Amino acid sequence: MSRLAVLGGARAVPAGAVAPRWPVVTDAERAAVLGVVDSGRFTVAAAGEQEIPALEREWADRVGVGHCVAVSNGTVGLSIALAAAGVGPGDEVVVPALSFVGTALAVVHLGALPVFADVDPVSFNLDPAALRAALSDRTAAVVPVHLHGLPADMDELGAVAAQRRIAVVEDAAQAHGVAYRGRCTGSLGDLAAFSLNASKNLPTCGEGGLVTTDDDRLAERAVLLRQFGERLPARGERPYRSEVAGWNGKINAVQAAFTRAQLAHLDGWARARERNVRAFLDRVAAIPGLVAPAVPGDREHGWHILRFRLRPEAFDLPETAAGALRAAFCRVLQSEGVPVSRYQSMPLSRQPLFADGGPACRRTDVPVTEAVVADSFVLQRAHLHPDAGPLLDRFADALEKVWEHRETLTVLARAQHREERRRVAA
Amino acid sequence: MSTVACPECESGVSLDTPVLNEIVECVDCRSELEVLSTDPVLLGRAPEVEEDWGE
Repeated sequence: MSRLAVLGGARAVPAGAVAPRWPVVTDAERAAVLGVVDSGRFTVAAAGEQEIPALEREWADRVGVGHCVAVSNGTVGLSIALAAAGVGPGDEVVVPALSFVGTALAVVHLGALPVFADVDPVSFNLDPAALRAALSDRTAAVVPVHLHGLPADMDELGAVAAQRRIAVVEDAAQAHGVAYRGRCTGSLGDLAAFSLNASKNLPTCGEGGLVTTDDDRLAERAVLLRQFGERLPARGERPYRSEVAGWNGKINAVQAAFTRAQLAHLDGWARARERNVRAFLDRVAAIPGLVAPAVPGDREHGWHILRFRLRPEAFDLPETAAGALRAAFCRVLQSEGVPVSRYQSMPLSRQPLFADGGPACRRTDVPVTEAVVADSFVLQRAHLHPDAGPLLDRFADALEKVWEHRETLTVLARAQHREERRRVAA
Repeated sequence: MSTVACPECESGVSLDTPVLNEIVECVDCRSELEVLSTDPVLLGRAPEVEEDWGE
């Protein structure tokens, strides 16, 4: 058995085996960006600008809805989508406790209250029973997040929402073009918001977002909300007349052009990623101490992020040592050359911004989220490139090697656990 | 006082009072090392700084 790299052995992932760069930038992306620069038309308000409306048409077609509104980023897109759905000050919006903080901030910035509900321990998505328990007379909307690229249980969540006549706004920031029961993410609620952040499966060269809906009225409101509440004429003089309290949420035409070039590859690269990730997960699933992500038969997974849970009992450790085990496991794995990390270090409900004096919110018990945050780690970005297969093979080598050294892991985790208890007691 | 082997050069590294996650230096090979465990005392290669992907 070879020595762990952290203890002086050779890395399972050789130092030269670096992740292929993401996003992929080809001559097509360069030409698209330069085309906008040379055109002199940079925003949707510029007469004759074509890249933004073209991206909106192409994404609406890909999702299978009537409308797409391109915006400055995913979080602004979620605020715009919620506002278009009628969410306003004092309303409650149910969100999963396990998500990026932008999900909650999009609600807060409307003067509405996020209500944090628990997630499913396998899918990591909003639990329909937790949604039901979180409803109140003030609930105006629910935001199912397709976390890491796996569509949420939209039919079940939608049924609860329909009973209470509340809006369903998908947070599809991490799930671009992913199938759920024959439909596509972005077409599963009243509206949806996608992120085009450079780290995403459908990226731009910076920040951007897309709002989708099949409802003409909601789309019209989203367009107004993107542009200071103004209704811009197709041609002629700008009226400078704001109908609603909108944002400056416009995307840049450079960003739109870059994403259009990426969109041409989205499905082909998703198929390559599916092959690479499945082969990787087949090996990980054979490691008894780890729980690899699972995909129900009725949907795809976009594999934006891969989350793995650790089983403390497989390391002869108590449940309470899950966080210490995760810290030790990541530390050792990083030394082997695998860029694992955490994705969220606490439930949204425990973010310091919601402490006393912060924005109003409503908390529910979220034991599953607490457990997942403690006992899991993720792989991000390194696996996205269509040629990442060989690197993922080395990552699997590393995971198997670390599992072989589980007795050392147990020693390290116990040391961390003792330190955590000492800090709590102090 | 504990003396444990440097994971890089296997020289003995002496520690008065090991503190978990403390970074120490091997006087022989100058490698930066981290105290990974205090009971038993175990030294590992210090972590490299990782990139923050942001969102």
